[in-house]
This record gives sequence, structure tokens and C-alpha cells, in this order.
Amino acid sequence: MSIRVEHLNHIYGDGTVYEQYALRDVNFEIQDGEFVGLIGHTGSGKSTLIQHLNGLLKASSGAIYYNGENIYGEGYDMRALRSKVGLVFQYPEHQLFEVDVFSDVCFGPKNQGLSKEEIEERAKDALRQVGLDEKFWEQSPFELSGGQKRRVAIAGVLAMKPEVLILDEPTAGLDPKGRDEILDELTALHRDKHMTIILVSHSMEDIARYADRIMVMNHGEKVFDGPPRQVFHHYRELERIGLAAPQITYIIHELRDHGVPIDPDLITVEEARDAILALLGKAEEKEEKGKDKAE
Amino acid sequence: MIRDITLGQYYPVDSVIHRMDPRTKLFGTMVFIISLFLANSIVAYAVATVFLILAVRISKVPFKFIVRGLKAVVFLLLISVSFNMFLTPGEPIFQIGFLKLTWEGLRTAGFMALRLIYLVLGSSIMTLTTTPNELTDGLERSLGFLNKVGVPVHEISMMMSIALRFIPILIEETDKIMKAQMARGADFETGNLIQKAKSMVPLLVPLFISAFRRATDLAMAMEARCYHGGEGRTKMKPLKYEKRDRIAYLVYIVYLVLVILLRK
Amino acid sequence: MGIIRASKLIYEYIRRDEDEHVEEVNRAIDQLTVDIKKGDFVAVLGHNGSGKSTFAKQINGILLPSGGTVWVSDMNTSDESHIWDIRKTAGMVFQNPDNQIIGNIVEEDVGFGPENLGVPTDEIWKRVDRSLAAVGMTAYRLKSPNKLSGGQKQRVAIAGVMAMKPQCIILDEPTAMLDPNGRKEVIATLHELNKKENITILLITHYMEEVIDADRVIVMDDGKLVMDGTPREIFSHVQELKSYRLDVPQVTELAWELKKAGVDLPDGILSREEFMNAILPLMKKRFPDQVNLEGYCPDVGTFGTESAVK
Repeated sequence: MSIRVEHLNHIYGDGTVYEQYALRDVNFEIQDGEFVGLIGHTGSGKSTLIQHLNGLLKASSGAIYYNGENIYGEGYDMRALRSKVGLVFQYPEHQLFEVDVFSDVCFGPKNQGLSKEEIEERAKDALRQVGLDEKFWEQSPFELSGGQKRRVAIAGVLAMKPEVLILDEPTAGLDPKGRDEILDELTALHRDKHMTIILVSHSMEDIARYADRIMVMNHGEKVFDGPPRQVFHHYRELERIGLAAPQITYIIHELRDHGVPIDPDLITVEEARDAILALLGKAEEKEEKGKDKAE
Repeated sequence: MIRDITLGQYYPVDSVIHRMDPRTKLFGTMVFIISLFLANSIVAYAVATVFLILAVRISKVPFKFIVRGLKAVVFLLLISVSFNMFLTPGEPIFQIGFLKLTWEGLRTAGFMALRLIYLVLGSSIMTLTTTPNELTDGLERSLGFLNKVGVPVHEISMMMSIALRFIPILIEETDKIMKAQMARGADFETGNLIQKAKSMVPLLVPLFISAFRRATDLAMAMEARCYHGGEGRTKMKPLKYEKRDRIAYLVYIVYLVLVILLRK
Repeated sequence: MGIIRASKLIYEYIRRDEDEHVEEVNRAIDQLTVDIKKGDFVAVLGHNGSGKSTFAKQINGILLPSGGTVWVSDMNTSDESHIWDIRKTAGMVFQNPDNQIIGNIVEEDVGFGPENLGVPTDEIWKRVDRSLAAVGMTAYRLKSPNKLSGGQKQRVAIAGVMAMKPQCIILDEPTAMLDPNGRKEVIATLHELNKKENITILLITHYMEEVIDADRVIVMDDGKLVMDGTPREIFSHVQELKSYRLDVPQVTELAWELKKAGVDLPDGILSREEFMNAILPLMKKRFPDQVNLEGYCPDVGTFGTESAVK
């Protein structure tokens, strides 16, 4: 199972003087079970791109194959595609509308025309998957905190049992703890349910920690695509297009520039810590104490 | 459809009409509308046409842009024209069932269509050359006398100005909500009228909640910036009549007199 | 005596049912006492729901204390006769850039505050010119706010407050809805206003990167003030910050982790430069032939505690 995008173009104001490429010749293939981070500054085309993947926007030219089938082919069921490729938008406020959390999560499966038992079963599953305590299920979604609302929004899409889950900045505006909770839940979905996840984010640190592949968009074009370590090698180019690699990448490269023989591929705090400790031989005179604490 | 409405869309170029006092433009639009209802001869309409074309030329707004405003009223235009054409009594040209096409009908329908088109074009010139704020300012000042009879003119014009600012934001938001619900399998297009109305609930609830939230936020932000109604307020851009405004008023009078004289 | 003072401030959100019976009392601020010095750049940190936004709204009288007192430039916010002076002295910028811009054109929005204050027309124009220049938005003065980026909208909002000639600006999570570039833009603008115009800044945020250049950091949790000090002092307590659901910048965390494992580093490292200055000499000791100390500047935050709490 996969999503394959071929020569995708999206042009606004086609044929007029205002002609503008929102997407230009984008190509990639995402395999089943990948965790992809999609990054780019505002207006880089990343939001436009994800809306193509579930058919909300139609490309000006190019093709998208979902599980080998062209979604622009005649008679292709777009609504069925939307339940297979779930898309969670940035602001939960844009989708919550029911009187209580539970009914809101039921909206998606209801639209799929399932039986009442099946709908409720799925809603319960989805709410449990996002870790929302049962005491909230009967509450109005509008009275929840920002992080809880976001969970309900994600559950609302999960209840449709998608094979791919796309999230547009699911952590925007959350505090650090709320952010970590959401990202950890996504990791659990990825790990336990083998769900394919595409995470749109501004935060290189988050992506470095969670994604196993990064796609970088700039001016409607895909400029980098690969494992985080590999993409962050280009931290200077990333900076030129208004993005930055994680702080750790800079530290590692600066150390290397000063002749420190450290692995250039390290991207998380833990990795950097272990590498530096190894290089320093764990600071001999405090070795005992250091060991205790490190464990 | 919503995007076709040019009313309330400012077209930023520099022209004499752009620089005119909004009150002059408001008054001019009023004069023009009155003249359209007074005019009943071809010559009078010719004068109105010249007046309109001149105004368009001086405003430097491309004619194509002004005409776009008509799209929004096409439907209304068609209805009123066909009503007039077939339901005006008089000498029939031909008749199908109870529908009777008459010379008089054709004539009234023609005038009717012209009137409506000119009306839209005329007011488009005003809205295209006047920023919403100038417009509300102009209204506030021109209608200031209503204050004495208890109409809260300042508040109404402030509300208009805020509405104009938030319309584009809410349109964009509607689009986003629609997409978010479509991603959950919502269907806004198929089904009968009742089903369609029902399918609007997931769109309208978030939209209203968001609008209320914005309203509360905005009220707080206005208070934080010391807004306390129109009393004791000064103006950054106070309205002042210039020479061009006086000339414009003169032109209006000449025009109106001409139209009246050329009536049948 | 500082420009903003709160003494034993209490604020309670009270939820009532239809019959006006009290259903639920939620204490958002609990016995908060704080004194903000004029000219300081103060950051208030706390997770969502810690009471920091409620505190912000207390300062310019949008909310009034349930107990205790708030003074702005020696005016008591509970005293209604001073309300406009207080709001003029302590201007406020909110989180959502769209919901606080009133004007349909940038310059008209900036003029909104002075218009309300009854400032004469000529003076309004002068203030608008100056305020737009101060936030670097002069080039956009005739644009519609809807055509601006998030960061630009927030700068317009800041200019709108500046035009009221405040002594102090309170910003309630002004960057929460912005992308990283917009965030940097806004924070840089605030530092410039703080330095050049000597405006006291009270920045409420939960982004740690935004507070490292502040003069003072206050951490709130559960409506109470729990930490108060320079960024360096605050960021020395990584564990404690984490217990308040907060984060530290990656470089601070790395330094802290290394220190915990026994590496001799100073407390509260805030920037990459500081980290390099501290780690490179250690590396030099291990690899004397390979490591060069080029560009290494021993003045900034070397190890040893005195300079670390500079």
C-alpha cells in the first residue's frame, strides 16, 4: 500500500497574469507504515500538498496513485479515499460542532454509513487511542482545553479507520507538555497500529525526534526528501529557505568545525549527550559519580 | 458567487474620484440613483450614460472590474426583465398561453434592465474608489443629524466598518471548516433540500462559535485600546471639502437639471 | 516602586447556573505578589491554564481583582476613574492577530487608539508615523491587514499600542499562532522597543527560546508565582521547570544532561556560544592535537560559577 505522487502541479489563476504555482512538479512515494515529517515555512505549499492527498484539492496536472489506483481516474470514489486518508486540520475549532465529545467523534463513521453499533464501537476505540479520559466523553467539546480539543479532533478522524493519518500542525499553540503528549500518542499509533503518518510541522526539533523521513517544501517545490540525519546535513541550505535544523545539529557541526571527531549525524539531545560523554571519557575524575547519575 | 460581489471592494489607484470626500461620492451616488428613476426618455438615459462613462473614466478603475459587480445581480435582472416583458398589458407582439409579449412590456423591461445595471455600476464606482472606512466615516457625518432623533449613528458606522473587515476572514474560515468536515466524510452537495439544510449544521456551528469568539476578542481589544463610544473621539482622517468636491456638487446639479428637463 | 505591582492578587472565575447560584469557583490567580521595574523586559512563563493570561488581563483593567490589588504606575486598577489612564499606560497585545485589528487599513488601525483618546489630528499622524517606523511597518501603511503575514499583523498591533504612548506593553502569548519566522520578527521588535524607546515589556509565552534574552523571568503555576530570576538562574533548574510542564532550549538541556553525568560545565547555559566556550576547552584537553580554539571567546560564560551568574 502506498501513496504515489507524480509530477503534481497546482496553479492558481491558471492562464491569467496572476498565474502562480502553489505546487510545482512534486514527486514522491510514501510506503505503508512510514512516519513522514513535512516541513516548510508558511506559503511553501505544504498545506496545499496534503489537501491533494485526500482529494480536497484537485491538481492542475499530474497524478496521485493511492494503492496503485489513480485518484483522478474516472469513477474513483473520493469520499472513500477521504476515509482511508484521514486529514486532521490545524484548528480543532474548525470541526467540532456536536453537543458532546462522543457524538462529535461519531460524525465521521456516521457519514460512512455504518451501523449504530459499529459507529459507537469505533468512536470509543478512537477516543481511547488518543487517550481522552472517559469522563470527558459526555462533555461539550467547546469546554475542553486546547490539548483535549485537539485529541477529540484527531479521534474524529481516527474513528473513520484511516490507513494514513495526515496532521497539519497538531501541536500549534500547545504548551510543551501538551505537545509531547500528542506527539507520543501519534508515535504509539504508528508503532502499535502500523499507521502511516504524515506530520506537518514548523518545529524541526519535533520532526527530528519522531519522523523517520523528512520532506522539505519551498516555493511549491520539494527541495529535500530523506531520513532526518541526511536532510539536516543541509542545515545551511535549510537556513537559506527560512528554516533551521535542530539546535543540536548546529552544535555538532560547530564541534566538528573545531576539530572534534564527533559523528555528524546526531540530531537529538540524548544522542549528542552520549557522544560527548564518550568523547570526554566521562570526565575521568568524576567517573564514579557520573556513572551513577547517567543511569 | 460571493467573490463576484465587487461592492465593498476597494480598487487602489490614485484618481480625482478616489481623493474626493466620501460625502461627495455618497451624495453623487444618490443623485445618480434619483436621476435613473426620473429619467424616462431615451435622451435622458443618454445623458445618464455619458455621466456614468465619464465617472468610470475619471475613476481609473478598469471597466472590466466594474462590470464584474453585475454578476451578482444577473439572476435578479433576468427575473425582473422577464416579468416586465410578459406581464405588462398592451399591444401584443405574440402570445404563448397566458404569456403575452407586448411593445410596452419590451420598453419597460428595457428601461428596467438599464436602470438596474446603471444602479449597480454607479454604486460600484463609489465602493471601488472609497475605502470602507472612508465610506462609514462619510455615512456617519452625512447622517449625523439622525443622532438627534436617537439613532446611534456612530455605533452603526463602527459596526459596518468592523463587518467589512471581518467578511473576508469569515469567508476564508468557512472554506476551512468545509474542508475539515469534508475530510470527515461530510457531503454538502447531494441530497434533497432538507438533507442539504441538515448537512449545513457541521458547517454553521463552528462558524458561529468562531464568529462569537472573534467578537468577544475584538471587544476586549477595542476596550484595551480605550474605545468608549463616539464621545470625545477625534479623527485621524477628518472629512474636509476641497475644491474638487465643490466642482463635483456643481456637476451633480447641472446633471440632475438636464435629466429633469429631458423628461418626456 | 515598580511600574506594575501586584499585591496578594486573587482572581476567581465563577461559574453560575441559570438561577445565579454559584456552581463552580476556579481560582486562576492565587496570592500573587510581584513588582515589575520600569524599563525591564520581563517574561512570564507557565503552561496553559497556569493563570498567566489572567494576570495579563488584570494589568490593564480588563479583569478586576477578586482580592488583593494591582497598581499600574501607582494607579489602582480597581479605581474606575483611572481606567483610561491605566489602559493608556499599560497597552495590551493579544494572541490572535486577526481579532485585535480594527481598521481596514494598517495606518487607520494604528490611529484607532489615539482617536479614542481624543488626540488632535496632527498629533495622531505624527504618532502613527513614529509607531509604524518603530515596528518597521512603514512600507505597509496603506495595505489591508488581511494581506499581511501573522508576524506583520502582530507588529501592526504593537504599533497600535505604541501610538497610545504607553510606558509598558503587555503581550499575552503574541506568538502562539505564528510560524517560527513570525515569532522571531515579533520578539526582535519587542527587544528593540525595549532598548530604544525604553518601554517596559511584559511578555507572556510558553516558548522557551523567546525568554533567554529577557532581563527577568517569572514562572507561574496554578495561579502562583513559583520561580523568579534571570533567565540563567531559571534555566539552571531544568528539573523544576519540567515539573511545571515547561521545557528548556535544547542547548540548555544538553548542557544540563552533561553536567548531570559529571562534565564540568557552568549552570544555566543559554546559547550555543556559551556552550561552545565551555565545552571546547574540555575537548582540547582530550584531543590536544585535533581541536582548535579558533573563534573561541573566553569572556562569555566560561566555566566557574561567578561568571555564569553574570
